[in-house]
Amino acid sequence: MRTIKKRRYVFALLITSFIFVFGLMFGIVMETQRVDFIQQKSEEQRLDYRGLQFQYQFIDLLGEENNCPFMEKALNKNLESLEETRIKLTNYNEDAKLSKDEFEYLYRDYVLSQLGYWLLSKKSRDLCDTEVATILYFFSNEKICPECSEQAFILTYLKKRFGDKLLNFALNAELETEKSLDLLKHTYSINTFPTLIIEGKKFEGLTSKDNILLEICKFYNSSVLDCKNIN
Amino acid sequence: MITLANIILWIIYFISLYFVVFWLLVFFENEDIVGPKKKSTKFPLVSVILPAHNEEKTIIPSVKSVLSLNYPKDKLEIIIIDDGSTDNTKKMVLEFIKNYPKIKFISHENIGKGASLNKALKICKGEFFICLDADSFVHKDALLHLIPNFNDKSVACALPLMKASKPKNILQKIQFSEYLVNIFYKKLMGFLHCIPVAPGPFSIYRKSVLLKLGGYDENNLTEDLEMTLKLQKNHYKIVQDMHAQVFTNTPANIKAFFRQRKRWYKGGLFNGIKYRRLMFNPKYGDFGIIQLPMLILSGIIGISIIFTTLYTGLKPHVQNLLNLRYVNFDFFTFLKDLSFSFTFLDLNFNTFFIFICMLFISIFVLYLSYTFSNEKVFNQGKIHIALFLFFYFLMLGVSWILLLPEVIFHKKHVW
Repeated sequence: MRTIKKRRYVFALLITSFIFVFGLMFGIVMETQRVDFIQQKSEEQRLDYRGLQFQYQFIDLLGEENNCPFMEKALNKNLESLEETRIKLTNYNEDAKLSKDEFEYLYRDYVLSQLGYWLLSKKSRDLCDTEVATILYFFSNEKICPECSEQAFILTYLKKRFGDKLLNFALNAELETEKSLDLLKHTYSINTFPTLIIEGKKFEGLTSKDNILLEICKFYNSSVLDCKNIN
Repeated sequence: MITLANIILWIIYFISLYFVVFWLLVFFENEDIVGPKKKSTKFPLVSVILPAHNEEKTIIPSVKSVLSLNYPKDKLEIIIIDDGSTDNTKKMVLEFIKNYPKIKFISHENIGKGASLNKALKICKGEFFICLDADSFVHKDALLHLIPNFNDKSVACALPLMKASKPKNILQKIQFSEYLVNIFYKKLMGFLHCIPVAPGPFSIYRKSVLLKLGGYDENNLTEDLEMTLKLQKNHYKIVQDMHAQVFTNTPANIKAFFRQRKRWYKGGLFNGIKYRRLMFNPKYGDFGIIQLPMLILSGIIGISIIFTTLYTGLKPHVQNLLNLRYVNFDFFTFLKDLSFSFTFLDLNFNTFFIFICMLFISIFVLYLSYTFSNEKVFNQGKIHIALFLFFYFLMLGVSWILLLPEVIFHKKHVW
């Protein structure tokens, strides 16, 4: 008669479970590191924003328009860094087990930065007469908005084509805790996703590359290669 | 976000880790893995059978390796079987054995390996029965090391230390590592009487046991596996010897590799089903509880791991490729402006931790396997070691997937 040492099975189960629990704990420890990292990024971006805000006020008050190109570059760089943080924040939030609240708080901070930059970009155009088009992009999760990934792809593509001349502001409409986002949603009557606000004009549903081009090309005075056939 | 693919992957990780931990516990419980190097002092009559089907390239070296065994020649009965070869196997053997009148030769139409071995079983006179596949070669001391295992009367079968013969390319070098790891695990399995398969090359059986069990299953794709399961069913002891070396040719190209694996896995699957009553049956000890279920489970794990890896790994890229249609397939814009902002924090730490654990355990097992097989880890180079650790499991998964249509459409395999 063969015998089975049950203890060995149980012990193997305990060790395996221990490794898994340890892995889970490790994940949680690293989650707090992620929160710290995003917090630090947010601090940096807040400082960058204040710096840029000061520079615009400086130009506005003293009429130093020759500094405009330098500031446009800085604005664009800050926005790129902000978008990078948004993507990380979204991914970290999806993985998060215990820090959902912290990430949501940071997301609010990010949205406010986005909106701040959006207003700043409008000011920049008035002040420096820059050729910049801005797009507010309202998106939601994959369940509510299956076309959002396609829309994001098109916007990323156009950003790569236009560089500094196009500023995208991606706003997660799911973030109900941020009242300023509610204000925008209410102002533009955002009910469906994706929705684009291209310089005040609303586009609901998946908006094609060509339709976006038709709209943004109106804001470029000089010849832009991608707008040649449009204008 | 928890998806079905994630859940499947985590179950696979858990089961895989559980099995590895289980066998490592067996390793730590048993100090003497290699065992004493005993050489036989008694020399019972041993029958060595060499079944061949289109083996003109390797049959003569195989026979020569048997002839050079350190064993009294009058205690060695050699039988070569030509199982309906259509190449020059028969001609070459007949030419060769002119100088060795004691070698017996049987030639018949193609009836399969199992039937050929049964034919030999009926006419051979040895107390012990060995099959040596005609693509394998035996070390001169192998038999001397194997015979003492039968001093234990309950032992019905002893397995040699089967190594891949002279690996030349990367694929063969990877298989070299795999064979050593298999031997190590079989040694551990032997401690719990759990060895699931005695390989074709030079596994030695008590002939009386084979006869008692009715010989080989003639309609079985993997008759060696079936015989081992039959031995397990009847509670016979099977042991892994760590000194008796046998070398076997391994597939040199990917097509031959997948062909071989499909045959093995198909045999494993059907024999697993055939002996399903042993599964989770405590009467068969650890073999019934952990080893036989693993035979089936390994296929499910192999298939699942491929599908989930493909799904989770390729889904975003496929989505991006499909999205290219929205921008007139202008991928150059993305290519010329590629940017990555990956940091350590972007890793999926739960998966990463399990992966690191599995990797360290695999490296440890690989090191032990090489050490106990008296081989040096980097003797064959380093690249194949990395490939073995990181990608080999995917190749095995692919073999299972390739097997699926054959199982579904009942395609017949030949040896």
